[in-house]
Amino acid sequence: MSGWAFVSVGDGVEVDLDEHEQEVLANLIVDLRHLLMADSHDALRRLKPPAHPDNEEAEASYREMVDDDMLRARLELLDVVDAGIPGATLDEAAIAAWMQALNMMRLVLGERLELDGADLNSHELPEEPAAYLYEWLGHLLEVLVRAASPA
Amino acid sequence: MTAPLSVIEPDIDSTEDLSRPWKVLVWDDPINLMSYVAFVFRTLFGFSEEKAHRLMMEVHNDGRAVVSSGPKEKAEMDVFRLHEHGLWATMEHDS
Repeated sequence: MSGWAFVSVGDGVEVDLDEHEQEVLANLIVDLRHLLMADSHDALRRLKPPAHPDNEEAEASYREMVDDDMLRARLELLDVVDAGIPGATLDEAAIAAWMQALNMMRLVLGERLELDGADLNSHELPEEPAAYLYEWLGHLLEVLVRAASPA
Repeated sequence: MTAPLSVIEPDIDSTEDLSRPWKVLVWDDPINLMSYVAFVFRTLFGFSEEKAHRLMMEVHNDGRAVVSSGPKEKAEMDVFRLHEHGLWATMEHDS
């Protein structure tokens, strides 16, 4: 997996993924969409952190207030990313959608890999496909943040 | 003076002081990239690069940082937007 991935252009960021990268990312989007719609507590734990960790009642009312909107927004942004995979110039809103999508995938994989601070500091990721994907997504996000940051 | 007949423990809501502002905290986590967290602070709150970086480092070094404060509705909106971006945010009453 190589290539620039994201290139800063005059009015935004251009997506530049090779064929293999495009395929992998499209598959990750399919997986994430399924997870979001299944609303599995374990898989999404890290995507739905508590706003009120010490107050069950306040937390329940927060969840009731935001969950539907958050799910809808997340599914919509996956559509934005899906459409841009073959190559697109991302405006500010699309850049935010891409960042959130890449980060959601990292959070789900990181949770699955049971990463803790020590693992990351020592760079001792388990040798399995999820770990390579996790690192690759981190690379993509890093490059996108750099490409989207004003000089 | 007479002893009270019974003591009713107030629940949290009835003692809530509505005039006290809420603060929004972002907590350190091992997954989110430092550059991404700083970027989110800049875009969501309009912080300068320097301020966003300083707050991100505060999260990283101290485990948490207060990123905004205000009435409950504003704090809830900020937490929601931080959650949308995958950051680990909570809100609590300022003390």
